[in-house]
Amino acid sequence: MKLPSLRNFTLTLAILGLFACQEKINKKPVESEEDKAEILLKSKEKAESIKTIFYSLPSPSELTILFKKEGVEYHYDKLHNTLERDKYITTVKKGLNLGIYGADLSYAGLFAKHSDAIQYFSVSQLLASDLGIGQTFQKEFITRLENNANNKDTLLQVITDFFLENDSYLKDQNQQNISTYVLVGGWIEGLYLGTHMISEKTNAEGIREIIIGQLASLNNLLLLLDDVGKSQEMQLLKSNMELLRSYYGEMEPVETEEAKTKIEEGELIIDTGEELAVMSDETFEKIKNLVTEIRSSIIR
Amino acid sequence: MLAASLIAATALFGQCKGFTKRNCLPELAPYLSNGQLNAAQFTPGENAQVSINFNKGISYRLIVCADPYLEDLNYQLTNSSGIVFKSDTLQDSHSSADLKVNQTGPLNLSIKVPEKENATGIVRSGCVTILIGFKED
Repeated sequence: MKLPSLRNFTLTLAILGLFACQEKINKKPVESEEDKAEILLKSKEKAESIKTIFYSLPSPSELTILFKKEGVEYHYDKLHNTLERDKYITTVKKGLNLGIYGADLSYAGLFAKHSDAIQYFSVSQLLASDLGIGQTFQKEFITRLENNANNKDTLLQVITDFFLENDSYLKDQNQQNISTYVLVGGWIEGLYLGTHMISEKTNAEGIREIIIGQLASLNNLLLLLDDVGKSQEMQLLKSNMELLRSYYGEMEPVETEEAKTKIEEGELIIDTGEELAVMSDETFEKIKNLVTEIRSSIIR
Repeated sequence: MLAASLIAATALFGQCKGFTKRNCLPELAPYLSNGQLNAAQFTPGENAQVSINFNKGISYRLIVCADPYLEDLNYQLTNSSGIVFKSDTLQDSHSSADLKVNQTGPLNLSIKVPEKENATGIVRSGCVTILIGFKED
């Protein structure tokens, strides 16, 4: 949704500041508050010309594909218990846990666990209904699932369509804040599952690279969280997410190389030349533990 | 006043939702949507920006759709240093790019709707939608 101009301007300043911060991360791991303020000031002129900022986050399905490629396995016991759905009373909790269950749904779907997926789809649908998300289109999804039992591709299509329809409905109803809760919950659960479904076959370095690559998404989530109220619940979540961001600041930068592009079979292949920063074992463990802690506070 | 603004904003997004379903979503297949609908009403001269995190190992389809009234809308995909990887001007109502990255990281998509001569003085707007689809590489 296009935002009112003053809000846009503030968000623009913030997002450009963060882009600039990301650029600086390539040069040194931690910026001072003074550096950030200077960057924000320098960005002001450019920011004034930008009218609308959109946010983009990877879907839980996208994260699941990445983790699955690195050899994570499916463990039903790591998913959030569907029986706990009834204990979420506030809109914030319902939205966050819709994101959690949605990520679990994506896991079940990508591992072709059809009956688990139906179970998580049902609980996601109930939470969506609790949040007032339209009933009409929800029935269509159940019909599609029932008519395409055991078809993994259709299952994934239904899951992604469900979340697109929810997001579109919430923005249509001017409830961007609930859309943000869902995105945050889904992102946290995606990282939690990816770092807890590890087996002997898992490529630990590959998992670490996925985690490192989530910094930009975390930055976008923090910007979205700026705009969803100041309740104690949200303040705690936001401070934890900021702590997570500070752990990313411990990474060691890597030299940037020349950017290149080529076309292969109609696809544009982009070599940005910007290799991932290096994350120590200690930082990786800190991030993994904090993600677990944030997840626990959401599902509690 | 606030209520009236909210109703107006909601109605405008509703229009874009319909526009997106008709003109943009069909172009996404066989890629899966990332689950987010980024759409807004634009007038000539306005612009937008979105930071997208592209993951190595995933194939993406990026779709920019716009009301034909917003002719010559231009978009660019750049990195943090401003290097342009993809640029296009919409001749029709949409443009898409299928892409992969060799390194995970954010790229910046900026959209510019050029100014347009307006003899009547009536400000007209049109929808602009950005869709991102993905599939396993």
